[in-house]
Amino acid sequence: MKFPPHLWRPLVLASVFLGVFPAYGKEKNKNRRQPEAGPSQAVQAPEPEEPKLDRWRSWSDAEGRKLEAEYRGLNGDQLEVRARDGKTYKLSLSKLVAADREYALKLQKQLPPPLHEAAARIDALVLEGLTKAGKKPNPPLGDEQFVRRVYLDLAGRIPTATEASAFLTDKREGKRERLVDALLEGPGYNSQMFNWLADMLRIMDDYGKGVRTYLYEEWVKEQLTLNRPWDRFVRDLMTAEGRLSDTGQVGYLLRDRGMPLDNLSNTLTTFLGANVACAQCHNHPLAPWTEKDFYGMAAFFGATDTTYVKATGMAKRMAKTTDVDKGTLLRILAPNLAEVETIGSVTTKLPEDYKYSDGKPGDAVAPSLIAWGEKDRENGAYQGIKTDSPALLRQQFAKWMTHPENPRFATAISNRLWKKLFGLGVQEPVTDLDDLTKASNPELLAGLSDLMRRVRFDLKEFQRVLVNTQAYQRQASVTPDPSKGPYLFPGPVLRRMSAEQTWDSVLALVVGNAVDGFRLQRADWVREVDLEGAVTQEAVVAKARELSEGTTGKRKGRQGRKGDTSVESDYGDYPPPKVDGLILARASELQQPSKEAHFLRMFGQSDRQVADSNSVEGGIPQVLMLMNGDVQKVISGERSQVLKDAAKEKTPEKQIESFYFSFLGRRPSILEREYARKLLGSGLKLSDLAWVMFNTREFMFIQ
Amino acid sequence: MNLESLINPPSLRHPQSRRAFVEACARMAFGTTVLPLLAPSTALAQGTARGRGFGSARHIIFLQLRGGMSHIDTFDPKSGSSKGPRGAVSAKGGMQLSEFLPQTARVSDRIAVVRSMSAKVGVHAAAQYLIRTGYEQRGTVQHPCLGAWAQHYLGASTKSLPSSVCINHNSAHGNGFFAPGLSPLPILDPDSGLQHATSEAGIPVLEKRLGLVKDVDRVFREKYPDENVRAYNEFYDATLQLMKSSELKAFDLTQEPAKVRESYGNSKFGRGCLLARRLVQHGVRYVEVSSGNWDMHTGLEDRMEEVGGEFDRGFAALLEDLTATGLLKNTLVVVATEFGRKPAFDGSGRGHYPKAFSTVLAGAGIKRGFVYGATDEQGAEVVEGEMSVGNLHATIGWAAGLPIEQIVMSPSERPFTVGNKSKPVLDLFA
Repeated sequence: MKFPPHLWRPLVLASVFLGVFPAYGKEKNKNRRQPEAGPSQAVQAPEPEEPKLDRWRSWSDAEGRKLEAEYRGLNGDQLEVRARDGKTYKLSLSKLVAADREYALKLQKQLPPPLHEAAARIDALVLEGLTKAGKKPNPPLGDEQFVRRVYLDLAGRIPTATEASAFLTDKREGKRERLVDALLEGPGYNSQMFNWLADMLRIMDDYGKGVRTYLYEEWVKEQLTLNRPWDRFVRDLMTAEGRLSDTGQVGYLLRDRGMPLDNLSNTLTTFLGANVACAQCHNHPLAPWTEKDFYGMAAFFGATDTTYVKATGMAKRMAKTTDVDKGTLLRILAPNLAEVETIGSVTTKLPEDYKYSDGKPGDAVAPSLIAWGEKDRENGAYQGIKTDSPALLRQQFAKWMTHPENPRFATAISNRLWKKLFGLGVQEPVTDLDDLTKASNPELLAGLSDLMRRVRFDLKEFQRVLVNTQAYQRQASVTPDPSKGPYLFPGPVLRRMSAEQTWDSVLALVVGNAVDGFRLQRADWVREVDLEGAVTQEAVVAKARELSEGTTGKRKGRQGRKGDTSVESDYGDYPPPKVDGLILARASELQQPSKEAHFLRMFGQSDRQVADSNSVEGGIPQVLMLMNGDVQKVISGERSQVLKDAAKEKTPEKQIESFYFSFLGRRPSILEREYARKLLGSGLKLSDLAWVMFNTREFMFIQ
Repeated sequence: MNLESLINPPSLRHPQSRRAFVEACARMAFGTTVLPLLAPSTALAQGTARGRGFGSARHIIFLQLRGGMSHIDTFDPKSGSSKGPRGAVSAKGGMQLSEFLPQTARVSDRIAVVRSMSAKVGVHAAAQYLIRTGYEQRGTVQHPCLGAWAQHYLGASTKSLPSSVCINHNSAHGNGFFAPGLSPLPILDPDSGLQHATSEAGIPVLEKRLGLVKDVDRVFREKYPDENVRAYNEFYDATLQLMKSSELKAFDLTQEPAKVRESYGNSKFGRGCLLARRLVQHGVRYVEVSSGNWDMHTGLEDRMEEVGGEFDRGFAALLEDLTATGLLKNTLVVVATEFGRKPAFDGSGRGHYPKAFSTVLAGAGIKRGFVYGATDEQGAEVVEGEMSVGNLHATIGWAAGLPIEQIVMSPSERPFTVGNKSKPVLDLFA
């Protein structure tokens, strides 16, 4: 198989586009809307992001000695750097040339706290919690378990046999930290983060009636590639304005077309852990929220219209008066009509069945912010929030919500990322953080939130710290029994692989690590039908002509696609292999979500109807699929990499060892070699052994 | 874990306990190894005020007509201004049915027609959701279908088959906020039956492999005495049991005599009805069968002949077959749809109309040849015995012997009941 060049593309992209990014989309939007008066003036240019300084530098001291190395941290006068060979050096800041001294100080300001210091602080908080409760941490994790766990957590799949053995045979110091750094910069990181976000944000390809969200999905992936800070990412979702044909990030608000209350309910629970779902219809019996509170928040979105016109009717009408076919009309109309628009005034009113004394049904509602405690209102997030200009309301809401001092924003994302790596949130459920004293270890949760603020919402850096803690690098615990008190994280919790991790791991077995290179590229299918101006029949017909004149090359053939299946041409020049009707591309590079009968869905991929509904539960249909399904056939089939690798080995011992490395990332024990030999001796073949490994609990669970 | 705590785990009141909740559900779903078969229903009945019809249905066949069945052109025919392309005929049991349903008219002395359904939702997906779960759709929670509710309260209904099956459509989150194990097993094509149920290698080879799986896994399983790992061990055992089960033939329609197959008609819906009967016969508690293409904005006459004809034939054959096999006594058959269709007939079709529509119940202690409720002359307003979708769900739940007043807290700590706190309509029971 050819080595696809985009394996390294993210890195290049990241370095080239850093700091330039936010202009994309908005710029074009502005052009299109400039002639119009009104709401478009409300769109503010996003705040400029500081250009990121390179950690790598050739450091020079006053005596002219030079060392090319990566900045690792600054502690007083001591500058810690790491050279290419992996060795760390401690330099004296005062002995460096002035330019380098300044550069180091600038880096210190811009960069998160030194990794080990940050990790040690989290470790101390975990240990304190355990000690107070008279509990002990689990023993440290061996290299074999570590390599598998960290690949699954940061690259979203198991390591291939080569990758696992490369790590295990590496004798140099600091190899865990180096592996973490490599995985965080690898393509697998973005892929697994996309899956994680897709479940949280209910990302789906198809909003119905011809509306496809490919541009939104591409936007999310771009943000991950650029490692865009979480606060900015969320702010863009909240303030997006434009069409799904030109501004991907409108996909978030349009997810709940014409249902701003449901959308807000999800926004508040997901990003803030505010348990407001009940308050949407009545005062919450347990949580502090009233229905009025909810509507006060809703008013921030009261001057925003997400009820776009459905394209089907218009396509039908235009098909009668033009010579363009309905399918093409729908393809052009749908994303151009799907629009987030700001209107002139707030339309939020109390509902017809409002039954409390603080308002009457139909009363207009003024925007007002919720607070978890009266002191909250004194903090920075609440200062300077203006509600007088309807056009600016979402900006104001976003400013409050994503502010570092917002009482829950940093906490919510920290807790979610902790759960991602440790199997459980410090506070559960992650969607209800109203009472922070309910956390299993409130000091730890506060410490994590603090870390999130210190890394400035850099999710990659945050995870780098967590994965480098001793707490993470301990053996897993079995699923804790809640009746025995809070779980205090003596180690991560044993987890079943997620649907996406399972699928992507299957691909690693069948295709090898080349699978990281297949990229779904469907955004052009939407982008190329973008109408720059108003959606008129003339514009639509002109666009249809442009499309039919073949300027779009091979994409032309896809006009008739339903948009709900991926086709090979969606993968550019490096299409993934297709075996028995299965496209062997990673979960993030397939239809979102997959069809119900697909392996991914059978293993619990969310249907994206409800946030956070990925599931790791088993069931009979799932086990039938594991034992007899297509995926099983692909793994034990002829083109399977794992079988080819094993077949290359000459002795049964070596073949067995190859399987163990591939499936479990470790060597077999003496006893296990014996079992396997017994099987191979009893007339069963290597493909049977592949079946066996795939059906073990050890394969399905993350230690 | 004792039965009481499974049925209403005390830990459900605490937010930390989703895990416990899910686990409890998983065990319910997997009751074969944890629960004595069918014992729970008697245990449950104690202390629950029994009444007419309570617990009369051991099985439920829920026929879903997707797209919105026109009540006026089926079970609530009108002769005035809203009359459709066909008139009404006198059917058995002393009721009037549309001419579009000749087969049903032969067996209508076994059914109760509800003509007074009323709802507010006139959008397909949302109405489909409502009729299936008894709750309006929300972006923040997923409600369970009746099969999941029943399994939550009653445990598994058979030794080796799933307790809920849905035919001709996916399970669409039928487990709701319960564990995925309570989701109906989807059979997308009645003719192909259960997917991946047979092994190319054969059972002996499979057992050999599974033996080695245990060997390879030994160290891991000893090291992690984890409930989720154990759940998988049990799923594997159950799956092997299912694959070896003679009950597997429940999914195989070729086992039916040609005459029986023919009686159901050569449609996906008819085949689905036949499969439903086979499954019920083998102990499956809850079976959904879907029929599509009821959204007749245009071409109503032709489509009623085609789609309505398939329904008519399948439904009548199902009732006759259930009668012949004696299953109708404890099997509740429900005909449900998204909404009715507008009284105004424009010569071609009718629009959506949730304000008034019809549903049908039969079997399991339901009155025979009975009409409940009425609409006005146009079929526009319910004038007697208005029944909500919640009432319908409560009635079905009641018939199935479920504690419909009992509150279950979802993992997100919100209270739910079968039928959204509505009352069952006991007048429907004989």
